[in-house]
Amino acid sequence: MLPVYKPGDRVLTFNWGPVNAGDVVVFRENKTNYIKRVDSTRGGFVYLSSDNRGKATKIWKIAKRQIVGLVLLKY
Amino acid sequence: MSFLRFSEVLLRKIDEIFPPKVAFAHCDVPCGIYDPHEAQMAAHTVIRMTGMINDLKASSDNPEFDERKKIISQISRLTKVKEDHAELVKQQIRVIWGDYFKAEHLQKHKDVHELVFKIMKQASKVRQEVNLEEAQALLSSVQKFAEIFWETKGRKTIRVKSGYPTEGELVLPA
Repeated sequence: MLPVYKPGDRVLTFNWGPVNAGDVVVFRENKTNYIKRVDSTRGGFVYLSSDNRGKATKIWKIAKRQIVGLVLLKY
Repeated sequence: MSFLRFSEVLLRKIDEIFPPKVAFAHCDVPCGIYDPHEAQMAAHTVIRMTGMINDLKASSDNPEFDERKKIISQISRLTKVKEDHAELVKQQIRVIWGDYFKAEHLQKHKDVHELVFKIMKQASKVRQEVNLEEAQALLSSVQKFAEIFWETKGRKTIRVKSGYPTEGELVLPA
């Protein structure tokens, strides 16, 4: 998620309200938390991608219920 | 101490009591998650930008300097987005083709190489030109690629109205 989020950064998340394209979210997949940016939402699914497109090009498709929280701030 | 600095210090103190959980930006192993959705969105964006450039009109044959500036600025912005998204189409298709497709897929879908080559060339063409038909042709090829991709996963596809201003369709797994 470079350049905005670097290894070691901490983020505060909250988990209510709608998720929109452009939001950064923390979600859970296979017992692991991931942080990605929302591309779009469609039919109960959320499509996510990385900011660091040079190294991470995959599109993630997750169910909305997998979202742990929307990133509110970085500190 | 500024409010932001104060907030940071406070949150770090709270973290000492309630340690934060780790979130990763990448998975460590190839996760097998590929989707031609973004390539389709990017192809729709190319159509939209091409349409918006075509729709730009000057108030006269010889507009004032300020109006020229405005039009040039607008065309520059729309062109940049068109360029970026045509490149995004190429990147997304290349990743799926290069990382996901395997020899056994190609035995059944022998035209994948040719189709990817066509998409690469077509995406370059829509960058070079401002041509709605060519942009539509790019989307059409990307949709065909999406249908092949989902078929390799044993999934039937449906074409749904995108809801985008392009009024085109998206290929989705049924």
